Amino acid sequence: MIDEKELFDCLKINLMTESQKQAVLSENTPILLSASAGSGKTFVLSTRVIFKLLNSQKPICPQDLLVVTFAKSAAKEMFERISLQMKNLVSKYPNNKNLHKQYSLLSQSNITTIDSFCSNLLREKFELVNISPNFRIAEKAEIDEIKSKILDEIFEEQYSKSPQKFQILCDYFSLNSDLNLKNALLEIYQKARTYPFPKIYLSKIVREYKYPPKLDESSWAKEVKKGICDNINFRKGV
Amino acid sequence: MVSFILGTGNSDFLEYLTQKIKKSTKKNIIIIVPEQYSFSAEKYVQFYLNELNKNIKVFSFKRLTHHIFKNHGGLAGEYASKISKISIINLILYEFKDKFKIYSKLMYKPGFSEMLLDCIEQIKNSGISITNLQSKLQTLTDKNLKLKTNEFLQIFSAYNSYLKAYYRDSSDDIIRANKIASENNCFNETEIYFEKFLSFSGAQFQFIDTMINQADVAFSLYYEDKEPLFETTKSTINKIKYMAKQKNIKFENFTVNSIIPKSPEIYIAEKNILRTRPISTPNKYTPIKNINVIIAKNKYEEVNYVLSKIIHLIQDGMKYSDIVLLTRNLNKYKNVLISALRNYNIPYFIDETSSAENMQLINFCYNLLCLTDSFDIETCLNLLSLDLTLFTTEEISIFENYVYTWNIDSKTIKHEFKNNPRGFVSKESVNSNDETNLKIAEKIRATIIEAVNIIKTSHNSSKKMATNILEALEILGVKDYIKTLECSDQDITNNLAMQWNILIDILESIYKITKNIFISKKQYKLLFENAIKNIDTGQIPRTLNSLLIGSIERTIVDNPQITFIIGANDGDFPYHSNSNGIFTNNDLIKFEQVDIKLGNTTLEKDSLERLIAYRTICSPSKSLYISYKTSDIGESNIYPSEIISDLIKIFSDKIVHYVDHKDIIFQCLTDKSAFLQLSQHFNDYSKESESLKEYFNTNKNYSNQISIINANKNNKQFKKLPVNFFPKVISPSQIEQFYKCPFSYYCKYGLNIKPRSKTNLDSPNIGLIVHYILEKVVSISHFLDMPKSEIKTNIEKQLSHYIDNNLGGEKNKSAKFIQTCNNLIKILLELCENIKNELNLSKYKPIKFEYEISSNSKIKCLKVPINCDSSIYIGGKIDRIDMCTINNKKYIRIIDYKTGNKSINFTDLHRGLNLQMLIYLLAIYQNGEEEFGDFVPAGILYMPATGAMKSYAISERNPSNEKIEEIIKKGFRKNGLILNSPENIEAMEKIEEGNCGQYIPLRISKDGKIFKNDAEKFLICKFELDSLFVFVKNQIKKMYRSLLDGVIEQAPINISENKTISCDYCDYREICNPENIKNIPMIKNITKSEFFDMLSEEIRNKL
Repeated sequence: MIDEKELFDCLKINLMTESQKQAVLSENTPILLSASAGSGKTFVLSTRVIFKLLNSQKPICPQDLLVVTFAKSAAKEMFERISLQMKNLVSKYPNNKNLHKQYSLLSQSNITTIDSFCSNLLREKFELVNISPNFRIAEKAEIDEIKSKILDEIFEEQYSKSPQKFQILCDYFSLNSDLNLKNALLEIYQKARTYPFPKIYLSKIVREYKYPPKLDESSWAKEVKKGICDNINFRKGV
Repeated sequence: MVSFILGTGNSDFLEYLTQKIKKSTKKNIIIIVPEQYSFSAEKYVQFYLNELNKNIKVFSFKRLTHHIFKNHGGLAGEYASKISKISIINLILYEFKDKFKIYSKLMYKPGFSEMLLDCIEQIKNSGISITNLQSKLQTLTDKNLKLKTNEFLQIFSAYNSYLKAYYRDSSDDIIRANKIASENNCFNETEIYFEKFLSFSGAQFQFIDTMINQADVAFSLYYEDKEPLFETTKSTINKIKYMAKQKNIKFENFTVNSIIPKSPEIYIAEKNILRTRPISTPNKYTPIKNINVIIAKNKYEEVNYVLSKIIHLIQDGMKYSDIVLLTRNLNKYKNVLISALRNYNIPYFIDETSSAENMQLINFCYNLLCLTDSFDIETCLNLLSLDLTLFTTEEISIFENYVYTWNIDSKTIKHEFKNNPRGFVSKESVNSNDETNLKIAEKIRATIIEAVNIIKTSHNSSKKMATNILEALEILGVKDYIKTLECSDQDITNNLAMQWNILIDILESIYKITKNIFISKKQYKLLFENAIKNIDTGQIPRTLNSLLIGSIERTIVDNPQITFIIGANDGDFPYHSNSNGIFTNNDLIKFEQVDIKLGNTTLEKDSLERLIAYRTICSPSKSLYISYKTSDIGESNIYPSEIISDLIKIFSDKIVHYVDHKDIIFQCLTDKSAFLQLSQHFNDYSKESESLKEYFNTNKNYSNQISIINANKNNKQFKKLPVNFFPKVISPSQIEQFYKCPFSYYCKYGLNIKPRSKTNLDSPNIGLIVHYILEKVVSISHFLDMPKSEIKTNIEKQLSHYIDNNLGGEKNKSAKFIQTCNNLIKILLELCENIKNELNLSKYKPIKFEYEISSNSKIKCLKVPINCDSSIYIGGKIDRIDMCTINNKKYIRIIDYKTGNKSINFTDLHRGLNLQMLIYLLAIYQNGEEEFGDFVPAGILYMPATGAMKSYAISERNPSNEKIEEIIKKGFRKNGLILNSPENIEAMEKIEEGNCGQYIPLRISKDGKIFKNDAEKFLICKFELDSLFVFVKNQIKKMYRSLLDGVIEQAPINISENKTISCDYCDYREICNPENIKNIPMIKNITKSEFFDMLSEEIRNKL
């Protein structure tokens, strides 16, 4: 595609520091790029992407690229940097057909936010996850309404099944109303959803309640111990 | 011979075509154009080529197929409508539901059947047959794709068989016409020109293959060598060249050199936009007037600015027909555009078809079918809100309120409505209005249930379903309602008649497809739902001088003078395609690997979109206006299209215009648009906004609105209100409401706006129950000697009576309701026990319970003169009055049971809050001599009715647990103001030295003195009490005079120091938007001595 030496010049790889160079060129290994704000992380990453797309040894196809960011602005900036650099190279090498092809395919690369990537993936594979192909992301108010309806139903069921026991549970959270228990359940739900397999996480917690491990081995005791240790270490430092 | 006539967006293809046709020796000329362009092309031929004495015909592919069918046969049969097609897909899905591994689960998912139909049509357009696809199935290596394709093929095949039995499919026309043309040599001795196409579908390519075999064919295409922008054209040329080579037909390229006269900026834009080569900038001396980039905050600003600009152009002599307004996202902009176009009075034509989803009658039937499938209250209310029944809006509101108040759900709606529409109301308080409203609510309920039940008895037959739907409409009074409209509004009647015809069409189409099969309610609903989404309701033809609004991908404009492009955001223009559908992008690529071209990949779609964007940019002859928004509806940032960056690079940022406040006057073109600007900039106090205020002040349609807004914003004072506007007899809670916020008082007591409340056991209702039961139980003559078990029995009896009498009985109550009642019994038992203990310890004894102060009772209302000829009266109900006699002198204290937190402090009193108890004490002190004789007012005390609830759980309370008993006791300690006299304090409770009172909030030190803090907070001397009475009267006067002066401003106060404001619990917060209220005064704590110092100061000043 583009000779490595020329590509080094075009992308100014020779002007980079050793560790920047390493971050651009390293292969077959995960890399963690950590540097202070404004030190050129995006520059290094976009150069790495262009290098991977255009090097003559084994260029990758833009469709096989996934660049994930957490903000729309970051995704946009990343795409623009790569696109602009490639555009300049296309005008520099007007007869390089492979370069033209890579540039044309750039719009097919996944340089996107994590939300958008997940949403596209679900839309593409809707039949595997058994959801409507027309799905849309619900508004917060809609989700809140559904949650509240479901909680009301669950609570009503519990109040009628075992009122005494359920009252004890409610009282743990508030002596005035069952609202705090509802909020606590929503918090647990939110927390569980941050795990890849929420149901497994929840059953693990329930198991720990049913068959409590030795105090020393319980997960909450570990947390408390860790907190104490951190505190002691902090004070030692002070 | 195949010719490629190549040029750019500025090339004059038509001129070239004209010359070529003039030179042609062939007599038969066919010009093929896209359907949208056929009218313009015919016009062109009529004007410029008519004199040539040649047989020149203009066709779109659709018209060409029709022409072939007409001449060679093939017109017989009815075309399947989209409703029929969707219905067939749904039936097939249902039929195959047990056979499919992948698709059976998705059959009821919204949008799935449409997606299947799209895929089938796409494959038909690609010219791929079922046999073709089947033959390649085994060569696929991806197992999942193989399975998916296999299931899809079964649907496809069944679809074709179903369709053939009833209809013709327009998607098959090109293939059929091609076959006829090929067999009959339809294009012999003909010259064919393709004009205005950017690409062709697979089926069209097959047709072209036949054409080049029989005729000379020329294609006009945008092309520039080595530019990725023209990748689509390159691929088209290559495909046609390949066909020609296979047939040994020569091909040749021609370049169009003549260009359409355009502004220089448009030429420059065309040459540089979306290109990879270095961008050339215009000569620095070239004035740039004709390329404009508009940046707006959101789509509302964007649309308003663009429409204003259009009007300015019209004022400068342009015609609406010279301008086009295009967007790649018409769906997103349509509603905003239509509403803004009305504000600016712009005549317009929107080039798109609309669905029947939002039509009143169609939506009504859909909601009815949803109710039949699964009853849901929201859907039921939606149905009624469509206003097609004979029930009036007021009647529907009564039904809606009943449903809301009594928590009616899909189960309880099946039972007769028997409760009071107002909610928890005692049997004695039921009035004739309640009975009428109950009848109305019940009538609506019964009618809906009857209509739904009629449809339910359709026994899986679509014929019965259709007749039952019509019968249900009759039951609901829809037919009669439409008849009543016939005499009034012709437009509405015509519209409803059209909707009625559409409904009948839908019912007939579904019947035609399903007449021989069983069809469930769910299936029928699905068929109906898909049908209404896909029905084409037709268009109103464009008028001569109107603004053309279209979607960029559909609309081919005929060299307009000015093009406006809105929504030029990243991903929207050029549009970035997503890989979704039955076959994903990867699937399509896998099919291509086995030589099957099912459709365009996202890469091909994106290339085409770029070419479409290019065509649109080059479309105007004079000026281009292109706009984008910087944020979406959720106010998150969105970005401009690369075309915007390209244009700024080419022409510099001088072409950029930011829509901002300076554009106010620019956008004031009609009264409506100007008023919209004023409302957005009312508080700017700029020259523009002030001029607008001045203008509208003298405009009779708007002056009233301006004066109201002005009053609110500037003076915070409205017109003086008439004396009888507010009630003359008020309760202490009204005074509290006024001092918390005058506007909330105005809403509640001036306008009488009442919040709806549900019949739940919430705090206000629990408060009422507590008051009722305490009155009943504590007033039993032997209460002070009553054993706990008897108290409990009495509480249970009274609660049961209360539920029967006031809460609609115990029947159908939720489990939560029952649990709350059980908890209440425990709380009340503790409370009664403590009252009993306290009264046994105290010399004070209760003499009155729930004692009324009113114009009809023994103790008359407290009278407060406002001015020389009018007074205001304050009444209410005292929870309990206790009395004791010390040294032959009567002492009276009043007790108030509070289920929430409440205490009396001087900070609140000073702000006009918590005056209730003082008002009551003053009322009986002033008017109660006849009833109570001469007495000393001895105190006002709040009793926390829920005791120690906040310290200990009811579920944990256990009589054997002494510690809990102690905590519970503490929870019943009262607070308030006590007359500071040793005999009075002792009469209330004898407190041992070094202890604190069990029921009164005082601590006594070991040397027998009351703690200073407690004395400061809770003790008050007679003089201070008298001063407080004067203060109370003044606060009431102040309030009423302010109201009459029109002071009803939004002025909330801080309720507590933890930043709770009165708006937090206000029922009217949705009306007044408290987020906009700033500078809420901080609470300034005031001690008793500070309070009385201020009071003396005020009196001195008055004197």
